[in-house]
Amino acid sequence: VAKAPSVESAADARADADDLVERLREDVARAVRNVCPDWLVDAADDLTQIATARVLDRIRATAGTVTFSAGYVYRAAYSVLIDEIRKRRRLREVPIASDLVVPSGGADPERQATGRAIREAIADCLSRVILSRRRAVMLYLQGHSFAEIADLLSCAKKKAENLVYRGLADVRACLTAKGIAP
Amino acid sequence: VTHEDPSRLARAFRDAGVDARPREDCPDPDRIWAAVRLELPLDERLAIIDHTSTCPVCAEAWRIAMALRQGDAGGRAWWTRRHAGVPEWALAAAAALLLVVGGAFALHLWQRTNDPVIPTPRATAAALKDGKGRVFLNAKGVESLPALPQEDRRRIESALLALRLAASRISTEPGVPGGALMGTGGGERFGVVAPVGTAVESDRPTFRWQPLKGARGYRVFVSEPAAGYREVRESPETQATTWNASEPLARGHTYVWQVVARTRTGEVKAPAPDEPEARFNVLEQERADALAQARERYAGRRLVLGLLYYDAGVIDRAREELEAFVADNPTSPEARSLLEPFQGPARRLP
Repeated sequence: VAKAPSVESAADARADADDLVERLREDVARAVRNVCPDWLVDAADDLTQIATARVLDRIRATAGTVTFSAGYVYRAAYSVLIDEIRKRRRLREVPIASDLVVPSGGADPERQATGRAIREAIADCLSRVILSRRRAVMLYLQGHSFAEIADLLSCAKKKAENLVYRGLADVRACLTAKGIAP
Repeated sequence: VTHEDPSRLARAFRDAGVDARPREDCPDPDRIWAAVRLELPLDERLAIIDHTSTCPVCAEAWRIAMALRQGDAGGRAWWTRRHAGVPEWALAAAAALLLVVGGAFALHLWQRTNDPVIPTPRATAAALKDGKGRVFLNAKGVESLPALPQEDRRRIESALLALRLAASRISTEPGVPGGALMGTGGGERFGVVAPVGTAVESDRPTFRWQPLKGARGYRVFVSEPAAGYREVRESPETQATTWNASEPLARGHTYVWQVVARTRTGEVKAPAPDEPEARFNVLEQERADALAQARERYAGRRLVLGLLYYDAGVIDRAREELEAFVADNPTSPEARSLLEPFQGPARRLP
C-alpha cells in the first residue's frame, strides 16, 4: 500500500525543519566564535543553545502548521542572540581603570595597556573624520566590500572607494599625529 | 604598531568592544539586522551606521548579522542578486527615467485635482485604515500612527516577515475542495472545523466539527503526540457538533484530536486515519495574557491584532482579524496580499 502523500510531505517538512535548525546552530556558533571577544566565545555553546531554543519554541507554538523560511528563522535567532549578548555585557563586571592592564591568558600588561591606548586613539581619530567618510571607513573596517558599502550608503561604487580611501588617509594622519606610526 | 595595514586597523577597531557595554540608545537587534540587509530606508540605515561607529556593542551586532547572512539563503543572495547582469548606469538611467515620468504624472494629477497633498511618512507606503488609527504598509514593514511600543512593533514586524517570506501552509477549513481534514468511511464524509493547525488561547478549547447525515452521536478524542499519542481527554457521546473540554489541557503542549460519529452502519472518523492529523497547541499562560492585554490596548485595530495573533501562532484569530482589515481596505492590494498564506489547500501538516 502506497504511503499517503500527506504523511510523506509531513516527514519531509520535519526533515527540512531539522536540517534548517541544525544549520542555524552551526552558523550561530561560528558567528559567535569569529566575532565575539574571548570571554563571550567561552559561552558560545550557551548562546547558541539560547538562540536556537527560542526559534524552536516558536516553531513548536505553531503546532507544525507553518513552515518557516530560513530568513525568518535566522532573523529570530539573531534577535535572541544579540539580546542575550547585551544582557551578558551588562552583567559583566567591567574592570576599573587600574584593572585594564590586568593580564588575561598570559598577555603582557604593558602590551595590553598599549593595545587599549591604540583602540582609544582609533576611536578618537575615527570620530574626527567627516561624516560621509566615517561611515564608509566604519563599514570597511567592519569587513564590507566596496560594492556592499556602495549599496549600504546608496552611492556609486567608485564614490564608496573614494570615501574609504580618503577616510583611511584621515585616520592614518590622525594616528600619526598621536605618535602611532609604522 | 602599524596602521598602514588596513587589516590591522580593522582588527584594532573590532577589538575596541571587548569590555563595552550596551547603551540606552542602542537600536533594537531587528533593526540592525534589517539595516545590514538593506531592508531599512536610507535615513534609518545611516542612523544605525552612525550609531555603530561609536558603539562597539552594536558594531559587534552588525558583524554578527553579516556572519549570519551567509547561512541564510535569503540573505546570501541579496548582495549579488540586486545588480546581477544589469550595469549600474542602466539602473541609474532607469531610476532617472522613472523619476521624470513619475514626477510628470504626479504633477499632472495635482494640476487636475488641485487637491492638497497629504504628506505620508514614506512615499512608497500605502496609507491604510486600521480601526481609528492609520498604518503605512509597504514592502519592508509597517509604520503605525500612533507609534507602537517597541516589543509589539518587533512582534508585528516578525509576523509580517513570516507572512510574507515563509512558505506558509495553513490548513483549509473542511468543505473546501481539496481540504485535507475530511473524514472518510463507507462513502460518508464529514470534517473537523476547529481547532485545526493553530494555537489556542483557552486551555479548554471548543471543538467544532461538521454534522454527518445519519449520525446518532459523536465522541471527541484528544491525544498528545509528544506522549506517544496518549489519550488525554474523551468526551461523552453528544448529538451536538461542538464540545468543550471538561478539564483544562496543559499549556504549552501540542495535541491531536479526532471526532468519531456513530451511525447505523458503524463508525466514521474525522479526520480519517490516512488523512493529516488535526493538531493544535495550547498557548503558554504568559503569551495568552499578553494577547488579552493586546486585545484591550488595540481594540478595533485589525492589522495590529492580526499580526500579533499570527506571531503567537493563533492562526484562526489572525485570519479573522486580517480578513476584517482587508474588508476595511477593500481596494488595497497590499492588504489583500496578507491573506495569501491562508489560501489554498493544506500541503504540510506534520
